[in-house]
Amino acid sequence: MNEEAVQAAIDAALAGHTTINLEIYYWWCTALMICIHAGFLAYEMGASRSKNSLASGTKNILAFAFMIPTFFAFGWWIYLAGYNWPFGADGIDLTGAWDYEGAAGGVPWGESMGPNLQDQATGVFWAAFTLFAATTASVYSGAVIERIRLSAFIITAVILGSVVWILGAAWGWHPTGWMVVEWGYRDVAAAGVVHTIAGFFALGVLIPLGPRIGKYNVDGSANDLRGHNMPLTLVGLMLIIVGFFGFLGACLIYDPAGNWVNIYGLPSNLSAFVFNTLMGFAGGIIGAYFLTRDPFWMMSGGLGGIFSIAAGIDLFYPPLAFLLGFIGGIIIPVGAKLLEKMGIDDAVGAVAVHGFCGVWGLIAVGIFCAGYPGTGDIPPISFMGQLKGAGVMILLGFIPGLVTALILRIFGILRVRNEVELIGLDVAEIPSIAYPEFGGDGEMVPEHDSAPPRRPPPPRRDDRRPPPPRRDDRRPPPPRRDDRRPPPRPRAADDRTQVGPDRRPPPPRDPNDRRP
Amino acid sequence: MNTSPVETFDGAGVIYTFGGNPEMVQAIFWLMCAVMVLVVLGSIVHEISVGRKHKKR
Repeated sequence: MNEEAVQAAIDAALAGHTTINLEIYYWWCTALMICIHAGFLAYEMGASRSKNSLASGTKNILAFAFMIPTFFAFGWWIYLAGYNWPFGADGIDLTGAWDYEGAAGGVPWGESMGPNLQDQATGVFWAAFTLFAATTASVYSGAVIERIRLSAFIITAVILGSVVWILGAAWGWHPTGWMVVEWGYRDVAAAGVVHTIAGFFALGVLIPLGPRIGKYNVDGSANDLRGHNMPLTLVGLMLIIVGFFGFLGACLIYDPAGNWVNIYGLPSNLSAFVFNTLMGFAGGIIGAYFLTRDPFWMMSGGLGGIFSIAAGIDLFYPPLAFLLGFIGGIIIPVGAKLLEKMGIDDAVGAVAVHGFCGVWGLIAVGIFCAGYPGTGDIPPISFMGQLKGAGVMILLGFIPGLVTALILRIFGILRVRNEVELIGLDVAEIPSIAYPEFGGDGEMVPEHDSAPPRRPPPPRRDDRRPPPPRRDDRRPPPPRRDDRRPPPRPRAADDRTQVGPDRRPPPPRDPNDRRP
Repeated sequence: MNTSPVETFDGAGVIYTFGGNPEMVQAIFWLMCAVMVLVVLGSIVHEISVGRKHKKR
């Protein structure tokens, strides 16, 4: 074997390893991203009142499940075909502007969309993008808890996750996307295409959806409808942070030559990502702590800090990332309060955390990274390019959310009935019980207080049960006459769950009440 | 701390904002430190005021 043949054999072996490394890398990024959904599950269930906790969880699980087949069916194809849509060669062309030929591999019956020994990349990239899609749906999901219909949520989540955000990704998160080619738009870790779009989509849905019953008083002042389990919410938020290490890692591309490049083909590396991720995270927590001292906003601030640096995650000087995150952590509670005053009931602050911080992150890249070049025909980063890009992302999220929710409201399938909302979505819709030992008022319900006494089964001859208690048994004495416990409430035969006020019929409506 | 991002892209290696301006980079670093000190001082003031309120009760 001559020298050239040896070199060729070595190159072939290295190329094989590179491909396998690529597969392994995205496989584990995808697995790690599932922590985002575990986190959102805990976060939203904890942020719901106990009467709605399982309904919120069900919504979250279904969002994940529906995203996978719909992203297989059309989401991936939109990413491959829609980078120039709606601009055709002769102006706006809604049907001709798709790249049908280039996206042939993305149709659901294409050769690459299934087991294929010659294609080791499509499956893992599709999986990572599917998890990005599911993340957008989960981002939006928290805002609308406790009153949206499950079916309406699934429809809106699919539109967001498998159509809207991926169209934004084709425009601004694709090396040939029109926003990238025309404006030099730069959004390396998806501050705009995921967070801004999902946050403003949520805002678009929240306007027609309306606030939860009890959120606003007749005089317009807002009540604080606290979730039933803050520790669960905080742990959920921390899990989301863990999952975002998979998300952010999957924003880097391990190219066939074994180099790291970002989504625009520019050289980068994981070290750059991790410096700024951690610094932005810390800045966000400290910023929210400085303003609120509330652990809910602190953990939300940590998330918002990451989104504040996401667009320029590979470029910022780490202390600058800290300061950007700090500002993001301050933006969140201020933005959430502002929305509340405007009559928009965002149950978890998703619009502020994802929408506002996403926009701030995009603009920060325009301020601090202007002049950084792109590859090929991509123009350098500019403030105006980032500003216009942020505007497009806001509208791309907001308008479809608003229009879809309005259509659903016209058909009367957007929101649950008031009676269902008052009694709790869990009781009305979910055949499981979150806390069977507890009533709706949080009081523990002792079995002997509410359930009819059970007769013991007749003893069998070979029964080995212990003998019946003697007279000196230490059972508690029977209640005395001056016992102040309330008398046991009679219970219906099918009443398995709530014994608290949630089972009571809804109070009469105030005629001045503006709530739906 | 040798180049602007543009030069960095040409292969110098160091990438961060204001990379070509060491004074600005150091100013950002000290600003970060100042923010943390400010937050800790604010926290101390807050705890003292909360403690006084409880003492009055």
